[in-house]
Amino acid sequence: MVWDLCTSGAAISKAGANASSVIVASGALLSNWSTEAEGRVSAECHTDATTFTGQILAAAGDACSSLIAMNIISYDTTGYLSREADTLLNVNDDKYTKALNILRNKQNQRLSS
Amino acid sequence: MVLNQKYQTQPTAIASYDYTDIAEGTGTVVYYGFQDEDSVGVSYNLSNQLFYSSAIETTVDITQYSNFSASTDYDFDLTGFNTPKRIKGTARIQQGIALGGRADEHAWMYLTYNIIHYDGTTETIIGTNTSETFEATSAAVTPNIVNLPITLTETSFKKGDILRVEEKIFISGAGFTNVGEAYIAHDPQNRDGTAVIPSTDDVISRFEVHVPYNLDL
Repeated sequence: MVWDLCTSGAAISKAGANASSVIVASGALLSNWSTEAEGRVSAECHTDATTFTGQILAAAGDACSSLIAMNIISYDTTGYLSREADTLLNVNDDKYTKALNILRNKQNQRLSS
Repeated sequence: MVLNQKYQTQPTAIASYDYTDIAEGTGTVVYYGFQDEDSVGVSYNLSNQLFYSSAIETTVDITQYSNFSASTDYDFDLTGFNTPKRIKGTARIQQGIALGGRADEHAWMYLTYNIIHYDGTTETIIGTNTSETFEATSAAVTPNIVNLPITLTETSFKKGDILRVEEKIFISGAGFTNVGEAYIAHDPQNRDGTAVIPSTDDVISRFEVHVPYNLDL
């Protein structure tokens, strides 16, 4: 279960233009975070999120990539100006929270099938 | 729409900025190029401190038919940044130089300056400019000041990244074997050199680099 919900590119782009080049090039760490993020999204939805399709899969991908992006940002914040990392963390946290509110709703999940 | 500020770091110090810098959104820092020398050899550096350079000038002999071949590159490095910076705007180079010639022979020189982002492995040029071409046709040493703007690509410097100014001297000559000398001055204390002599000529022996930073307001 890795990169089923989103691509690494989606997560990297959400970490901003000044994300650490080291972590952006580290496929192994990003894959670990993808596995963890997909597991967390599934747990929060009480459903295997990788079975979602269509628009609901895209919403799950949004949550997943935001969660991975927060890991990328917090891995090394020295490339960001002051408060730039804060803003990116807050934006991604907001996206993650809102996406999960949608995904937890069973009626929305039924849109997937 | 109000974004929930769950993550909010607090500054550990109170920063004060010049009013005009705030109005422009940039703050310019002047760095001085200088040379130091240890048991291994010489190196070229940048600092905002007025150090005494180990040599006031660097000299390159101009030979015939050198055909504007670039001499050795001189990399003036600032020590790595301890905090992230963003450079934006137009930098300015100001440097005292001199060109010595021979009677009835020709010597030419011009200088190219590259401002470089260096992360320890990769050099990325973020701005460049080239001086006018200077010519010597007599047995005299003529000092000059190079004053060049350099438009910079907006660039972020992470912690540990280095700001580098690469200076290349291009020389050419027509005549017998040795037709002149090119001098570049780099003494933050503005002392007299052998060819660049501020106490008698209308020139400086400093190498100044004015770098605009995007203020982190």
